[in-house]
Amino acid sequence: MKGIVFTEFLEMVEQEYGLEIADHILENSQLESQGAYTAVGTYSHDEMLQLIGNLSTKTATDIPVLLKAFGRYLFDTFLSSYPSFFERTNSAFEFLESIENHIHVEVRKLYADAELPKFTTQRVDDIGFEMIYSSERKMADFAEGLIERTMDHYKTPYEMTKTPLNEDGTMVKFVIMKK
Amino acid sequence: MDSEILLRKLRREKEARKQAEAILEKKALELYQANEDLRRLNETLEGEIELRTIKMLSSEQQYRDLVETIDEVIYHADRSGVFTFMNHNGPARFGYSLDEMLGQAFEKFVHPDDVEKTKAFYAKMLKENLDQSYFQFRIISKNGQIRWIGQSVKSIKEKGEIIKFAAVARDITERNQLMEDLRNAKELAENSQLAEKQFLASMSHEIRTPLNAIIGMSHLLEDTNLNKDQNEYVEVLLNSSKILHTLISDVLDMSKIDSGNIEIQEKDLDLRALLKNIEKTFAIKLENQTINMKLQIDEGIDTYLIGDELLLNQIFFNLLGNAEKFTDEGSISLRAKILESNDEFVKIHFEVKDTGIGISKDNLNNIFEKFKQVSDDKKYSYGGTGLGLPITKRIITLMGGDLEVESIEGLGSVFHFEIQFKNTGKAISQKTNHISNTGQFVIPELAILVVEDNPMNQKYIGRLLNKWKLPFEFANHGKEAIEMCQAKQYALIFMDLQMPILDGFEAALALKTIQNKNSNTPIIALTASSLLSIKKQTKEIGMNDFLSKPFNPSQLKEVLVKYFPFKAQQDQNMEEFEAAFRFNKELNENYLADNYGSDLSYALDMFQTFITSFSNDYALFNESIKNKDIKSCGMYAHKIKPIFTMVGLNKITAHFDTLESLSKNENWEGFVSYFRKVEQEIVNCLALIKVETVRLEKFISHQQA
Repeated sequence: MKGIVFTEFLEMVEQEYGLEIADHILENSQLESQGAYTAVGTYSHDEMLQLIGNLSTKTATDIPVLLKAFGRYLFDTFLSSYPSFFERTNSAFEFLESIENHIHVEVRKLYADAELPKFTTQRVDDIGFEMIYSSERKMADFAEGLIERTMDHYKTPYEMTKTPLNEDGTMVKFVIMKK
Repeated sequence: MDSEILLRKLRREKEARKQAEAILEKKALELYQANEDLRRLNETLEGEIELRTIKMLSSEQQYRDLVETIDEVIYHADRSGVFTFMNHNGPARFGYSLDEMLGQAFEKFVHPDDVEKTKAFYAKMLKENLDQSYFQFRIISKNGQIRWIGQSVKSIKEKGEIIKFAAVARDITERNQLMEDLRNAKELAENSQLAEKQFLASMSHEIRTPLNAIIGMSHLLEDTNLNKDQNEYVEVLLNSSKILHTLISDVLDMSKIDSGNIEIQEKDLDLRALLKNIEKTFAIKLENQTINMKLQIDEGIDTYLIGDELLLNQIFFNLLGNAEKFTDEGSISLRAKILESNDEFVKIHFEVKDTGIGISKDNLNNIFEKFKQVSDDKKYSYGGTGLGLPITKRIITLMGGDLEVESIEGLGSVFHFEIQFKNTGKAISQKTNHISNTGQFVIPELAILVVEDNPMNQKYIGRLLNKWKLPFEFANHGKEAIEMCQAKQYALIFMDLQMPILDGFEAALALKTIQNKNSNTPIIALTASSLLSIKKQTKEIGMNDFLSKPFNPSQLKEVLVKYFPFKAQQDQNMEEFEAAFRFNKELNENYLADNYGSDLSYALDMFQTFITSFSNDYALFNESIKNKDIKSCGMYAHKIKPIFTMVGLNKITAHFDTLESLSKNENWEGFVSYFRKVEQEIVNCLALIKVETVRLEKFISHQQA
């Protein structure tokens, strides 16, 4: 998993829960990296699972809630750090389509080894939008947060349903309808 | 507690920074490596580009050098004929610079008269989408000179369509000039060759006429009372004129051969008899010398071959004469040996061998060249023109052989050659065409028609046909002949060409074209003219044969045997006649013997007819002279001309021949003056014939008694 996910995750934890909590989850995890992350590095996905797990225990918050919050948080980071991602898109659906078609393409140019989730999108009429998340990382909740924040950013009122397409949560379908 | 957290965070941040730096360093290294690879690749590519550019430039330079070395104009022109490329050398030839021509249309340089032609040439290439074409036209050089250009143009195509032209243009002005000069030179040469032939032909006639007079007069002089010295002079005179006569004949033969005017007659040939006759002649010549004449003829030569008797005679007379000239003692032999023989042809090897002085090696090479003799200093001691051997060699070549010579100086020479004759397959003993032989024609069912206006000729032919028991009828002119031909079919028609009312040409043409019973009957032309053009004309209008007047009986018989079967009998004794009656020396004895043989009453008949016929015609002739009617004079001269030959007065025939030509040329003064010169001679001759007629009469009556 790319280092930026860890650095941004810890940033969010420090902001939301303070330094002690951040230190706590790091100290209570068995981390190969000793908790030292750099955005350009690559680390084991298992470390992320430990950190989120510890955060959930420490804050008595469900993991899906945490992941969703992280998704929303990361959107804002992207917005300020990579404004180029948003230059060519004028609507929420366009942006969601561009994740697979543009952003992931650019990421792979820089990091050939990056393991990215796959987003399959399809528009339904003018107002409907279907998006299928598939990843071994099972982080559909994280994706959900990203989608919600996107809709908010483009000030698009919507309704969204989330349907797992299998039992282990590696494939999840989102249906978003403009209101 | 807080400070510990911070310390730990600090440691983690430091660690993360180190990681980041390591990654950065690694990435920087990768980047450097990638850059290096890129640079090397770039260098390689640049090197390759440079190399290729150098190659391309050098190959272009090579082409450019090549194009500039060529002394011709090499150019590209677009579809509208504008020059887009050109070598420097090309335009410079015509005083133009490259800049003056590039970008310009060709019309600007083409001769105004050729512009349309040139445009049409390119238009045709475009229209017919030709790959390549050649064209000649004129251009005007910068200094105003007209130059001829020959250019090969090739189309350069893209997707099958012509996009431009590539051409090589050459200045062919000199070449054209050279060709023109050559043509002129050839014409000049041909003209002078023709002039030479004409000169020779006319010279021969001009020289022979006075020469005959010299020879004739010398003979007459010989018969007068001469002292010893005078006799010697006459002898020299005679010898010299005979040599001159031979020389002229040889020169003429040579010119005939050179101009291809010799025609090889293809007739039945008794080679055995021909060689025997030659041997006999030479044996007599060699009688008083210590030279033996030998003849060896292959036994296998026993059929009639096809060949030219006259030319073969000339070959052997020349070779044997040559042998005789250079041989003082020993022998001269003539040998004919079969090399190959079958039903179709017989190939014979001939050899003339002598034991004479021989020929040196140096001279062997040039004895067949014109006017070359053994050596210059011997020329006078052996005489001759130096044309005999070259003529002989050429005649043999014409017959398909090759005359060769081998010789050892001091021992003798051998001349030999091979000729392939067609074989008739007819055995020699079965047929004879010798004039002294008599025989019988198988009498035909149909008669012969003789179309002839001259009563003397009628009588002559009639007499001969009677003698051979061939039935015949006369027509006096063409019109009468046509009428007779419409009424009755004839076996053969003799047709005189020059006749009153309707001449022979028109009559023959009518018989071939209009409805009559004789459109397929063979027609034999009779004429006193020996012009080849007339002979050709008779052939053209479909006449089958040609007989020149005057003709002797054997010549007539020769024609007749082609149309009527003839059975030969044994020879009659001709000597008897000659011993029995001798005509006056003034008359041509040989001719008379040939014509009348032993039939003296026939001769008498002809002499009598001559007297009446001539007296009439001569009176009319004189009348015409009085009236100054030159046309009429010519007509009578033509009529009288042949009859003198019949009585052995060929020389008078020659006079009337001259008179006929003069009248044809409408040379009245020449005609009269010539006539006055010969008038007395003619009158004398008439008297002579009268005397001879009386002698004949007396002789015959004496014989009969």
